[in-house]
Amino acid sequence: MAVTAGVGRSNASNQNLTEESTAAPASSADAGRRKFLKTSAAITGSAIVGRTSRVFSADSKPIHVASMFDVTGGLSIYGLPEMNVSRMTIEHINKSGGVLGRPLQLHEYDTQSKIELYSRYAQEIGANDDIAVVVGCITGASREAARPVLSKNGKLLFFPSVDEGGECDKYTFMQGADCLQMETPLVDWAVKNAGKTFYVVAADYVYGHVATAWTKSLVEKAGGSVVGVEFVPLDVSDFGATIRKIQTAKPAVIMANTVGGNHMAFYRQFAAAGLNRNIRIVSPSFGLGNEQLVLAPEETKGIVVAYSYFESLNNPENKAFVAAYRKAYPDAGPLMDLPIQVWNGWHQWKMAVEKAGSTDIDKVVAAMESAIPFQGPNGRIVMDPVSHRNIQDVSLATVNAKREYEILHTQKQVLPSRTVVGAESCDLVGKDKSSHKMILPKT
Amino acid sequence: MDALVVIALSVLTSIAILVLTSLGLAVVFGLMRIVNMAHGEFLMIGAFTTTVLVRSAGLSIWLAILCAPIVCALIGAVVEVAFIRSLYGKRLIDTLLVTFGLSLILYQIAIDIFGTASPGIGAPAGWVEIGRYSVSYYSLLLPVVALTITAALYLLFTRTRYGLLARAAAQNPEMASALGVEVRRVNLWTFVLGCALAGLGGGLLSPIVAVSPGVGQSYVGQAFMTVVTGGPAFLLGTLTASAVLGGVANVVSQLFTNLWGLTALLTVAIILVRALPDGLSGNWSRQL
Repeated sequence: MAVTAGVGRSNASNQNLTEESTAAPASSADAGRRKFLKTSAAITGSAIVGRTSRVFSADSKPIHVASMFDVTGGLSIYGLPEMNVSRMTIEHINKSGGVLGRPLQLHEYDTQSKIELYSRYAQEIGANDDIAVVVGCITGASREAARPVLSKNGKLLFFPSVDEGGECDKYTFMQGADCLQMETPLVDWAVKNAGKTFYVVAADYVYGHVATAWTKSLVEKAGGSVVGVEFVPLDVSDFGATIRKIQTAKPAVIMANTVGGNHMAFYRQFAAAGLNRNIRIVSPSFGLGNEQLVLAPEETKGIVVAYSYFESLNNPENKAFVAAYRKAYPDAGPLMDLPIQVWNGWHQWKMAVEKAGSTDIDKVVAAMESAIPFQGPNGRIVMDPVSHRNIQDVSLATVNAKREYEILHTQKQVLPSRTVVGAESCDLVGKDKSSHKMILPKT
Repeated sequence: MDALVVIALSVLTSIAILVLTSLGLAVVFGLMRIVNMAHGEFLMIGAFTTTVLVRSAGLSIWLAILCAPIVCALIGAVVEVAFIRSLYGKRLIDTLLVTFGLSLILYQIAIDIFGTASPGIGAPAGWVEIGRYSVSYYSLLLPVVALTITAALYLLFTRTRYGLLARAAAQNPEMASALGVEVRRVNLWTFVLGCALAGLGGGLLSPIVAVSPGVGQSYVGQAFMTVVTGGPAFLLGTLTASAVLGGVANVVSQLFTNLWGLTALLTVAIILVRALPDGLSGNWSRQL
């Protein structure tokens, strides 16, 4: 049942895209049911779609590339726009001549917010000799499920999400801002404008734990103190106990590293208890799922976030990008950081392949490490070869009463971290040049 | 001292949330033995009804919450006639498969209509100060509402003619129809009641959670656990099981972290089902 439904829908939206794109994304069965029917067709029949892009020239073979995102399930708030932008970027690249004169053919994998599908599809991609690169994964947990498999099979992975750092893999490139790039301006702002006592509410998986380790170290350096930490599993939406504990600890600032749809309830219940009058919230993850749309303005007013990208950024690349996105997906919500990094990732890979003159993985890695700057919708980005992370601009913004982001100030070309907090550094052109691992912080 | 009061109130709220999200399933599964995998989607429909009516039609939130069960009742009636009617008394797995498919369809329809991030509503009525804590009025309202609904259902099933017929038709349909009960019509009403209760639960939850098409899915597992642990007394058993499971989860969350709270809930459920395989109300004299 699920197989035909998925494939049918995807083909329909493929045709829509090649004519006049509509907002119909490729979606298939949802994730929540898997708990009950492990052996059902829903697992085996996820939407694996081989896209047939336009024939480029009669004799140029396409370069196969892949994207893995959670298009359905609890993380679809992130995954659906990311997959849509992936598709849009490939179309755009093909329209402007492809890569090395060859068209790109995108293989889309919907991982349905299930970690095990990341491993499975990574195996499939790994076994597929044609696929040269993957731009995918949303949570750090999903990246860690896919990365070892992909890099063992010699596939490049570009990871577009903001994340906690610690990646030390020659074949992985991290697009999104890391904790150092985002939490430093947030902590500095909070200490100057709100207070010195912090309470951390974080998602209970690798991102939340590592981000909290960073928060503790940054807060200490800024002269503040962390008065409490609460880790919340991804499927919890009853925050009564958390809110009671926050009131006992009486912080001035909440550092909220919440992830996913269920965690939005935190901001709602926090405001319902009247706590948002006196306690400021700063967050490096709020807004990635368009929380400011789902929540009411009274609940989100004054929350401060830090990202590399905001839709209101005023530069020509952003204007062109937004116009193209709105034309292709007129019903989509506001654009946040993650889909932009998908666009950046594909273009950085394209430039590296063209510099290297081939899709051979080691040549492309060397070209990436030669730090070719790219002008993306979020400004100038350039790869830092030592950490495989992007040096990019980071802006602080706050949500106003009209649910829009008002940029407070922008810091240009912020360096990413080359060290994992409390642990060793990662030097991918030096001591770690054949490393395929992740370094975890000592908390 | 005020911390204890606030914790106690928080426990009551958690129990109330469990009750409100499980009562619909208690009627459909506990009484009629229909494994309703679409229970989460009915919660979601109720939540969206309330949210949309407040945001787009400008209704007061209380009126919008009351409309949620009506919408779910209508949809439930259609579902019952189209899908469930032929499944009474069949194997559990048949109802499971049918309602599973239904839940996928409803979920996808919701995504197509609302998208993944649609504007929601905040909690009404403000907050109250208790010592150095502040608690939202709405979270105090939920236990009162949950108790009222349970009491009303109890009266419905024990004091009214419909209640008697519903229980008869569910427990022994052949004998009931031999005695002149219109079993098909009564079962339709009972299923519709179950869906309406799910919708009401969803509507009541909508101001305190983020309403999205997947919002019901995180409650289905706990609802099934609560109803099964509750046992054959589908109303009072579910209430007792909610109190035990919800209470344990909240208290452990207060003392430790949310993860331990969830673990404690699951552990207690496992122990209860192992120790009392017929459920908490297995050997109660009153099977209601």
